[in-house]
Amino acid sequence: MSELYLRNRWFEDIPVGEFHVFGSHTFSELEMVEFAKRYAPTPEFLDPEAARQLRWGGLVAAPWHLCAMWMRKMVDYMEVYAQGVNDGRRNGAGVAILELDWLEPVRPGHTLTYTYEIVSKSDKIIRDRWGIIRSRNEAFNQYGNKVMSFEIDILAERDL
Amino acid sequence: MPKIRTSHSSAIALDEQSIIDFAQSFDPQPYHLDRNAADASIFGGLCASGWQVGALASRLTGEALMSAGIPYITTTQVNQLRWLRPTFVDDQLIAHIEFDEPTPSSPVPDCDSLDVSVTLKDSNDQAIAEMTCRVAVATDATI
Repeated sequence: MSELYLRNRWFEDIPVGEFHVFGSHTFSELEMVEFAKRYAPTPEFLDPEAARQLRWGGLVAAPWHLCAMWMRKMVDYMEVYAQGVNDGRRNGAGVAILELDWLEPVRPGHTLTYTYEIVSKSDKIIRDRWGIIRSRNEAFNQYGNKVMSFEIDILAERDL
Repeated sequence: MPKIRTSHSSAIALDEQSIIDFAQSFDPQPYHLDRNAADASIFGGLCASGWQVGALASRLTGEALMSAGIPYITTTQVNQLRWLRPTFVDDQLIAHIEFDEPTPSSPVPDCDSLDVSVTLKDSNDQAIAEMTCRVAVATDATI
């Protein structure tokens, strides 16, 4: 199997240490406000005028917006290479997030670049079929500062 | 021992359209977009992106804190978020929280830190997700 087909790889095919820079996104004020309306209706995230007088001196992105965009960039990157099996996916369903830190505010016009590295694979087998793979994920702004990091455990099908 | 306090949020219902809207923007995978594809998937039915569930868990945590008189500003860390089951169409989400006293200093200006344990439950009191997080609360609520 070509190593490029990221989503149809078995557990056994995914190497610890694999590292990808998988996407970038520039956050606009409009999309930040739209996200905040539904998921973080706080003036700091929602109201560009009011936010000027508040604790960050201007509108900032809701923390989970940075995660949601991580997911979008991951899907865009992975789906290009999801081919060759039933629905094209042998890995990806999330089990848990660990040590998620939001480190710096993200303002309108900031560009984040997302990376992941496979850090460990569990020996545990779930429902006779699934293994767990842990990756470390980071986002950096246009100044090179880390603005977010977390680890995530996903299921990957065992080639048993 | 610090005194543990509890609170809970109101319920948010996740209808099909809001699940699909989020998925189209942020998580366009078949099991979050299409009923038929979802029925055949690992999840067994159309379900919300885990990131939509996480974002709502924080929103409801903030609401539960506010209703307990705690001036929640934002979440700064999630030590752990564990999805216990998929969130399906028309599930009601309610955050049940436990917390004690804020500690001084936070990465957010003019805030203290507060550690909160959250269980996100459905309307049958069954757990959907568990989260432990650190939030920023206003040091002076008048700021």
